Amino acid sequence: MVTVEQGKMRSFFEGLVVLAIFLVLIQTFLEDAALIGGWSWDVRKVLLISGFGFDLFFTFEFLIRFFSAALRREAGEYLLHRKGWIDLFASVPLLLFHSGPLMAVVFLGGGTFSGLGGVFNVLKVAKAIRVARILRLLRVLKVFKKLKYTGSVMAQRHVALITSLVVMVTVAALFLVSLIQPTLPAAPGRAEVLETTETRVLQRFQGTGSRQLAEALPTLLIIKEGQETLYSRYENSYYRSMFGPFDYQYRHIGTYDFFLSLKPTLVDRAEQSLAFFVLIVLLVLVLLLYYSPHFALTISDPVHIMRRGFAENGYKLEVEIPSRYRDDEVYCLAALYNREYLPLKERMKHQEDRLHSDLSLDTIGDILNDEE
Amino acid sequence: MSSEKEKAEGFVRHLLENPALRNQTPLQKEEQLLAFLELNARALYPTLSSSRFFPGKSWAHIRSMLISELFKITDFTLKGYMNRFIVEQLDMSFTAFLGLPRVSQEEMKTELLKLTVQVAHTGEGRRALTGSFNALSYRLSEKYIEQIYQTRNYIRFELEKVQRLRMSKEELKHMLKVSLLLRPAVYLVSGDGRETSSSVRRQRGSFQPSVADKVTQGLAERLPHFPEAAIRSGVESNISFLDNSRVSATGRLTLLLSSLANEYKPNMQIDRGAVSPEKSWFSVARKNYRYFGYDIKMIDELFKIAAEQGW
Repeated sequence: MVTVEQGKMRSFFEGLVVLAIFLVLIQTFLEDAALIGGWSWDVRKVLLISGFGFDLFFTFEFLIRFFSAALRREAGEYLLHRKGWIDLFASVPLLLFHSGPLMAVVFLGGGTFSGLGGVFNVLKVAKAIRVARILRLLRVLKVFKKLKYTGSVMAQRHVALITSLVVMVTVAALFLVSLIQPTLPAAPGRAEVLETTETRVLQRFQGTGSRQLAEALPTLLIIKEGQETLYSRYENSYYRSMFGPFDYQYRHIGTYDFFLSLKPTLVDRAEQSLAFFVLIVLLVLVLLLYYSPHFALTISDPVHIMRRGFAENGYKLEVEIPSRYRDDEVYCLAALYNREYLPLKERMKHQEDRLHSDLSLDTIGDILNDEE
Repeated sequence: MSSEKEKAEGFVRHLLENPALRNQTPLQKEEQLLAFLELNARALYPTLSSSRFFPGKSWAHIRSMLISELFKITDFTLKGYMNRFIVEQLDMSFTAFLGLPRVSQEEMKTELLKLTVQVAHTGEGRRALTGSFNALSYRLSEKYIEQIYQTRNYIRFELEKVQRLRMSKEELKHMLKVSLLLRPAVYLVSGDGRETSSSVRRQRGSFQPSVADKVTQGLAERLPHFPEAAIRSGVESNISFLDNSRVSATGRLTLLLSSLANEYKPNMQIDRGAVSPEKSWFSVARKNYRYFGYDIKMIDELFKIAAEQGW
């Protein structure tokens, strides 16, 4: 039995989760928008930390739900039938492979420069995992119950299923592509070409003409030889405010240290990621706002009317049959219902003189349950 | 004893105020409550026989008390409505077109009111009055006659050319109202013209045309100042059009409007994807026209009107 207090607690928790889901979607969007828009590192850091916070929150949420279901021996039911798999995919992997490593880099800062290459590759894969956050949209499908046309349980289930499939397949495809892409013998991409060009140009550097080199190489930020700075594109304050640990890479060629901006590559990826994000959000919106009403109007509404007609003695409304859907099985059934069942019901009612009342015992519970 | 009556009245009033019965006419509410008591006797008895209500009384006793109070409440409302409607709103001037010498409207109204009260006190008549009462309350004759006159189709032709009712639209509306009020009066008079308590209702659809003349005569004796055509219209509304194709147009229209109004629920919530209530009713009636003795052509026209008006 769930007490009133427990019920209130649960509804508060559910409300909090729904709020967090909407916020995390906004955060996901802003994270990419911040890179594209060239926002300051401080703002981007706040967004990264908040992303980590959300992933932590959703991981705890998943673990609580999972163990709570496991205690009731319903872990399988939770994972497979109550969208537990969405909770899983959109929490633990994100924390372990995306926001967790990011936080490590953010807080360990410059000391990890040398390891950045490895981390960067992990992050490339994690970028694909990050799309899994969008799966959380599916969790809030129940919020859309209140929208027009989605009152039917059947409509909600079908729309939720098809939306889940579309989002899941898109996310899985993106994830798989990002996993197998590095292993494919394909022509080098823009990032690879840039990297090779950079290396060739940098190898020719002999200590003079650093300004010309910087002009030829727009990603070049700093050239150092030992402790001496031979060239710097910006003031140090600019680097501090605009560059985070993921925004540049370090190369040691000969006796020189080169710091190169990764922002063009990151912006490319952010644009790609944003495009996928917008694509999936649009898909979900189209399914919810266009397909869902279509399903309700052409399937669950006629079924609902017929169900009421069968169940309620006084309900005699016919099903409206749109001419373009008249060959649909549901409307063929509705035509039979209109043509055969309702007239028969009327005749039977007249013959049997069956009693019917709109009043039910439930509606007068107040007087029946009043204690003396 | 009076305390028991007060409790019974209180219980009945509580039920009548239930939101599920909102917007229903007194007779509809009465039918709903009667059915409710029958259907839920077992569940209600433990509460109603408790010390809070009628301790130690049998269900038959309790039921009879409740029904008696229910009838009193309905009668009070019904009488008030009928009085207001017949005396203040009904215009009997249409009788002049039916070849009746000038008679005081008051006399006709008094006769009609008396007859209606008598009908309401016969079991079957009271039940049959529901459709007529609802049709009057919801002003069905007004709204359909308006449209019938605008569309100038079969029904108007039947009224004006066949039945030769060359009266104004407003007068025709009042004639239909009188016809609706007289429709359940057949339960007061048997086929041989004597008073009856037999269930004519169960014979609906097989009310023989031969009986109609005798019943009309019997009613004419009770309504001496009424034109026979008006009485006949009400009586004929109980005859199947398939049994007698000479049933007057007003009689056929009375039958349709009364049947439509019988379970009429104004302002009902229409489910998305459902046909509007009156259009649905006429559509079903169209398929059952043989069974209920309706005029199929009239149904077709009324169906179109309901569809066009979104009723």
